[in-house]
Amino acid sequence: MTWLALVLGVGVAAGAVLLVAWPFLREPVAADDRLDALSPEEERRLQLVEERDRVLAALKELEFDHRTGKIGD
Amino acid sequence: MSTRSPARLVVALGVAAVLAVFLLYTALRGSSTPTLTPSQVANHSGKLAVVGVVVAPLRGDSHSPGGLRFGLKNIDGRSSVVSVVYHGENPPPLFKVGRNVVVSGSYAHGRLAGDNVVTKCPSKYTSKPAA
Amino acid sequence: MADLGRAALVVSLGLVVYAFVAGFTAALTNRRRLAVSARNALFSAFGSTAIAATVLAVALVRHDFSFAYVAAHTNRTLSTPYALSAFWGGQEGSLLLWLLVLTGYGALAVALNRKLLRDLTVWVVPVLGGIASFFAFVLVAVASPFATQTATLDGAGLTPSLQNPYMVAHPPMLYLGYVGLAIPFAFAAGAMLSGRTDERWIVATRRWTLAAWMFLGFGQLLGAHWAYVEVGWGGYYAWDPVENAALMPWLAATAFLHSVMIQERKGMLKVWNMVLVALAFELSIFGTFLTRSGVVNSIHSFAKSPIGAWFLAFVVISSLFSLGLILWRLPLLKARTRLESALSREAAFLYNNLLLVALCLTVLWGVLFPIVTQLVKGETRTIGSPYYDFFLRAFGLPLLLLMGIGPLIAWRKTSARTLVRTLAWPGVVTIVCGVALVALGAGSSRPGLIAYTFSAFVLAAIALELIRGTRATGSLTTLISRNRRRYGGYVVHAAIVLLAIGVAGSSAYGSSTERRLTPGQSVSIGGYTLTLQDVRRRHVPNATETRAVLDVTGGWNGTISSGDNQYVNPPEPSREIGLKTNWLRGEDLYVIADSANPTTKVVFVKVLVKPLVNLIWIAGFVFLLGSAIALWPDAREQRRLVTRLAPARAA
Repeated sequence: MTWLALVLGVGVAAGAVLLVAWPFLREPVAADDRLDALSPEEERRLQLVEERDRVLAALKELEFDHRTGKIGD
Repeated sequence: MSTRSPARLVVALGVAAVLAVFLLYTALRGSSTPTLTPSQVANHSGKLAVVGVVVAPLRGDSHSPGGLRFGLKNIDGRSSVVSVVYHGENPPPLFKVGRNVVVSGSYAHGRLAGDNVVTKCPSKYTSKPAA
Repeated sequence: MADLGRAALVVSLGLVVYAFVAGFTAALTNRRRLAVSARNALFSAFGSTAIAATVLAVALVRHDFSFAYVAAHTNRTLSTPYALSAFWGGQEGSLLLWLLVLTGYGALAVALNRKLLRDLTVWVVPVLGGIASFFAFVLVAVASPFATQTATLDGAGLTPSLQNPYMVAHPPMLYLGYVGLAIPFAFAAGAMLSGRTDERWIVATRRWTLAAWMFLGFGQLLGAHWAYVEVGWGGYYAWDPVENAALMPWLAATAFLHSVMIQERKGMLKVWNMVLVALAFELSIFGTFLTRSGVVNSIHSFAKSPIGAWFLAFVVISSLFSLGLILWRLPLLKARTRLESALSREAAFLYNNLLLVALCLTVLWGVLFPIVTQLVKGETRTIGSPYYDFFLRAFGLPLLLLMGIGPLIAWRKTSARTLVRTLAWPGVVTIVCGVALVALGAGSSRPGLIAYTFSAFVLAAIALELIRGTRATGSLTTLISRNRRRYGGYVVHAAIVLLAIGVAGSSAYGSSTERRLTPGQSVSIGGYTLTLQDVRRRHVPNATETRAVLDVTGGWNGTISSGDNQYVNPPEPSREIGLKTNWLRGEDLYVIADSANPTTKVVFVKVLVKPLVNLIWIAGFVFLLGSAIALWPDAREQRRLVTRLAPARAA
């Protein structure tokens, strides 16, 4: 049984190494190895979208609260 | 409504209230019981709990007037034996000589009058709460 | 085959350490391929850990006693499900399960969010890698489940009280909960490390937190039910450190689930949320330290084990890491809006948070008290259930009240007049209920009465919310599908109310009596009369069963038997209680027969009547239902998410 365990163990290790090395095997030379980053404009857009969603949600809530009588006219 | 945010006030008041409740409790009935090993018990008296190993002889019956009598010694290492007289409900089923137990009761004149025995179980996930 | 398991674990350790180191390097030095490689390492770690877990599972099922772990926790007589349950019946196996779930969860969470939250997951991978490295290290170096020995003929067996369907489900459920809390923690840390402290991490991990919280909550209820029917002391929760270890992270996670809603709506409480998510995670690890280190006296006495010190070190280091991160990113965590009024939904959430955290910290203090007194006074002192009961009332009852008021208050601010008007109907219902309860004799216990009237108030408030909402939207299903999170939350609130009623009923209005009986003698309690018929003993395979048989008349007519089993292998006794649920009267008749003697026919009987205790178990199912409603995928929410997360996709 030991040799089977050995073979399987080596197999597991080899598979893991292959998977880990994969990004480098697939692109030995990368044109652009930088991480995707948000541009300042995109970041600003994200902030605004969040703000917009928040205000929209608040409006919907307000309207719902009004309809269910939690706030007066 | 003032222009300043009430958040801080709310939080401060909340924390103060929680602390006040806590202090109130400690002042009114902040009684904790000492939990001791058999070797530490000698200088104490009154309500306490002893953690130890049950040692023979195990005699009597917890339902009888004479009570269930046994000894307790330190779990690790050597120590003097504290004698226990226990009355009340039968101890949990796992209770026997050699088991780790916590006996609570009142201690006086070298004898622990136990009113509650908790058996610490030998295996994981095995609880036998207060009998 | 143990070699394969050991090798797979070593591979796992290598992979998660790589994910940790390479992941950090990639994120710091801005290298894409290295980041992908670190991510793949996390994925493969799940694969190799799964292989290790399979090896252990196969060994358990095949009763391979050359594995020291298998020999220590099972024997040949165990059926396959119970043999498998020994996977989490011991420390090494539990740790392996922990690593398996952690790498599995981590891989899945990273895989699902790798596109939308690319800038965040780059940092999440090393954080998860770091956490997993700790567990993998402990498994490889300190507590290996693959230690071998000369195969014995039979194993030591599984303690009888663990041979129970509850114990098959309860521990893994808790693990799914504990480990699940690592996911929001890792994403929060990733958000702070990357400096992207917008709300995406919260949105991305909302369901993870909910699921972990659901497992943790349901797992605890399963444990409580097990204690009730199997351990047989007449209760279901003993404020034991091990039980508290699961309660504390659940309370912290509950606070977190509530306060993130404020951040999403208002952009407030950012620091607080970071603190809560870290607290919930740290408490889940700390609980394991407590139970394994032997520093506190617990009825669950785990063998004093070397892993305790490692866990403590890990808790200290990761707490310092989280604290440092929060302090470092404090400028990014500034609130954008302010609380407008102390009478608003936001404020109600804030009160709820304070109470939950206060309750969590008082429990923590109770658990730590013996350690603190040992350090300060050199003498261990413990505080018992009166302490916990007091604070459960002091903080739990206001929480219950708040559960009714909160949903009825408008966001931003409410005038006192509107609030009075909104609360009028639930108030009337509450007063009517209170008067009726006093008339029925519930005034015998003041906390019980308060709990009942508050519960009536909450249920009335929830009903009112549903009625008004239905009227406003046209139908109940539309109402719920429009905001699953809120209405799922209300269902969970209803579950908590059921729980409160059950706890108050069984503890404040329960009764018990003890009597020595010989055949023909009887004992009466709460409208039942129990007469001892006989004490019998019989031998079954692997056990000797002793039973006192009692005839019951009065509130229910029939026989009930109770006693103990003495098992042969392992030679352990187990208490077998007699239980009759009287649905008509909404109570349990619970019989503990003590030292039943088949020769002298003498038995000491303790009889308990526990009103409404079954509501606690029903609450568990309502809790699951509510969580499921809140967890259910929501197409509209998904669309909104994609538009919001879209910028992160642009390269």
